[in-house]
Amino acid sequence: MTLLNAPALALLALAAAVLLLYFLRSRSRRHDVSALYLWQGLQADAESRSATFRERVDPPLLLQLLFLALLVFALADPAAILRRPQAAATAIAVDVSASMRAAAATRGTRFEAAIDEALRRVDASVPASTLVVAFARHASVVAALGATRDDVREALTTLRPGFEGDGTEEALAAVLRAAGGDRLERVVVLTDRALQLEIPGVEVWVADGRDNVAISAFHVRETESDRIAAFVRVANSGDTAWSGRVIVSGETELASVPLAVAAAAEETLTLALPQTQGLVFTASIDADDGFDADNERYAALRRPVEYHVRWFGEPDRFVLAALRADPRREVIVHFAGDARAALPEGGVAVAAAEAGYDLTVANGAWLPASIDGNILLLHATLEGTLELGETIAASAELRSIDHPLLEGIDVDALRVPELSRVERPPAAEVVLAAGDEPVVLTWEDAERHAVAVVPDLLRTNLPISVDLPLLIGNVLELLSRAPAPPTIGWNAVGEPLDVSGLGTISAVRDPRGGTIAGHASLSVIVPSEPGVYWVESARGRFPFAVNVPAGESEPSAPTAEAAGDPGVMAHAATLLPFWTVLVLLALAALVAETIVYHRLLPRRTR
Amino acid sequence: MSEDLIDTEFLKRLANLRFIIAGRRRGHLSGVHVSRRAGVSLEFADYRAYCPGDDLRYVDWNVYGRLDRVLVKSFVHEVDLPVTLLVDTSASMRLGSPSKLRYAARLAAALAYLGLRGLDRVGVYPFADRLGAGVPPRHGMRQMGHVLRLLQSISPEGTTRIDESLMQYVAHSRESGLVLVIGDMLSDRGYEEGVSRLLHRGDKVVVIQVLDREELAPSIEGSVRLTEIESLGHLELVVGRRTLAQYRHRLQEEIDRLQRFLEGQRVPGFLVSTDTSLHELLHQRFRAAGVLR
Repeated sequence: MTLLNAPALALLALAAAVLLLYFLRSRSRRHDVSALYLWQGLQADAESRSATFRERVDPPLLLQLLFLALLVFALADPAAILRRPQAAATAIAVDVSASMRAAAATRGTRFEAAIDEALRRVDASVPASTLVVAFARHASVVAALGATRDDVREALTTLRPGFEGDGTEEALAAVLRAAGGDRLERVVVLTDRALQLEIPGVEVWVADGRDNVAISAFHVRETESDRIAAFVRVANSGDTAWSGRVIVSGETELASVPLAVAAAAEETLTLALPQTQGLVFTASIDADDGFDADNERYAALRRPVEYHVRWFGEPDRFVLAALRADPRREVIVHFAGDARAALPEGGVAVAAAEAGYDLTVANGAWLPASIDGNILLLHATLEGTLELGETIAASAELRSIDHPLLEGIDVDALRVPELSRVERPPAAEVVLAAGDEPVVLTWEDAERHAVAVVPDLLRTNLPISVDLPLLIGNVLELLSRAPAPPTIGWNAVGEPLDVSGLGTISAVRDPRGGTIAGHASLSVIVPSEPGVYWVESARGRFPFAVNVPAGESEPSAPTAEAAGDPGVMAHAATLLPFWTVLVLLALAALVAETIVYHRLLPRRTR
Repeated sequence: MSEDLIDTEFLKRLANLRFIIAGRRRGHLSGVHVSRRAGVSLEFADYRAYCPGDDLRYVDWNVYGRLDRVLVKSFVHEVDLPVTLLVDTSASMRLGSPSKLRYAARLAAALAYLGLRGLDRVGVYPFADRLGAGVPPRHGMRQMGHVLRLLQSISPEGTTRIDESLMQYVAHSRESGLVLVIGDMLSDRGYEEGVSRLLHRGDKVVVIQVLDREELAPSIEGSVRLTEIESLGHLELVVGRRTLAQYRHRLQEEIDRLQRFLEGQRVPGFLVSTDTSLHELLHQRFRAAGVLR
């Protein structure tokens, strides 16, 4: 048995107060009589003095002390240690997060120390009864139950720590349960941080490490005055101060400043790179701390994606402003004028994708049937698909459906006094209608994905309301997904990068210059190492800066039992807390004391 | 004393009991007790010479015819019995479980019921250091309500002065009758003179001494602070078996002194504990002592 909150035992000193109060009360015990003259002159009984003491140590006092002892013991959070025999099936979970790369306090790295410990456990275990799981952000089985001892040893010796951060205890527990099932009677977790696994028979082995100095944050942004401003935060988790240089470099410029950071403190500085060109930046410090992954950090600027719009009809400054309002896109409008005159060869248009157009907008214009791709029709006709008819007075009653095109739009505020009758494609979905006449509709077929706004915008109140940019933004998002925001901060190893919206990807290059296969259809990539990843598409080259998670820079956090004694067992066996039982017993003692006091004891002892 | 003093079932069991009074009483209202005065009833008493003003209906014409003397028949005059209950309400009556006062009140209620049911007039007076305001003797079951209200309202307070209280009662009451004194009779100021005054006036006296079991056989032990509940005087004492034996001896002397005095005055006296049942007290001990029949 062990006590998880042993200092609470100090409350046992309250027993002295109970005893003191008890004896003080006993000394002045009062007994009412009808006639004192019957007692006056009686001789005190010397024999009863010993009875006095016996009487004071009576059942209520003992029960009160028992109640106090049980309550204090419960507060001390006792737990029974269920020591199990050498398990027939043992799981060894090895932490392969980036922090395990850090140097151990004595020799080698934390990971090497953990592997040595794991091999020792494997050698001591029953053959073919060891499950090996590697865990960081995710957990995976390295050697399944049933593997020979040699296979397990080989799996452990070939295991390497990655650059990912830590995952959740629940994920690790789930993998252990899934791979081990009911056969697991012992789980040995080799890590460098405190873990609270809700698994029976768990034993946490904590590797200690050296003090660490890390770049805990690094960001860059463009400014009007300095061109590029870089923000760097250096954290020193050691017991001694650190001084050195912080170097921030762009593709064409380098800045270096000295910095001193006190023990267990952090400093933040800002550096200007006024002459630099390019998008990729690196920050580094010259700390000799045994963990290099956080001594160099990466940041990248992102440019908005070019978005080419072909415009037929009269320019509409309201719609154009709404198109350019999205910071994630650099909208480039190509005015084509009248389609009948603009399109050669009798109105046959070149395919949009081939011509490099992301969107075709027709404002009060006629479009030939050969137009394909993404289309926005503003009071316009698409030959053979959507034909505008006579203009009629619109019903004041607007009806809408729950559709992404109307997200954020206050339909009740829209005013559509008149609109044209329309012959629409059978598959068109009417998003907004005035009475039975469609106002906004959309459809998608093999050649095109289109949105049509039937009324003349200038005959509605849309241009003077905030609903127009909302509507145009919804149209763009529906027809072609926007790329991820250009400033996405600190990408961590293991966390997926959203590369959708960058167009068709032609290549993804890792920080070492290698190419990641299968890139053409990628919408996300999962970086496996720190550095700058480059995504290449028809829209350009886009850098993604990836770093080791900042949490990996924190010093190892041994459990309370293992603090100051690296590499010892944190939990040698399953702990079964039983404070609730003690609380129930304490309550029972209290009830018993009350009953004894009021019912069972004669009045003389009160 | 807000709880009901006495329940209906218990009262039903008292239906057959009635006070016995020795000798002829001097009550002035018709009742079931024989008066020393001649009066009107079915029981013939004596002849006497006719005096002007006598009721001619009572002239014995047969005697006049044979002896030529005008004689008037006289009959036994049956009168009611004024029953007065004097209940000790001093602070010492608070002791006990149930308290001595509650026991005394229940006993007084039962006796009042018996009296009223026997067509007697019944009154109740509380006393402690002096006679308190009570309910004067009246007959009829309506009086029972007044008696119960008084008994339920009394609370234990004050010191015990039995002599003074009984003498005040003698001065307050203008007719003699049956006086039942209910209390713990523990007073170092005495009770003899008060009882003697009652007897001297012609009252029939019954004394019921009510004590708690803890008073009769204390179970305290060890170092205690004895506090007299009336005077709040106290005494520190280490109590053991020997001390308790001495106390019991002294208490028994007090009880015996009272009994000897009462026997000397031919006054029925009863020592009852608060755990004695009223049924046993009334049906057995009171009947055995000739107080009830």
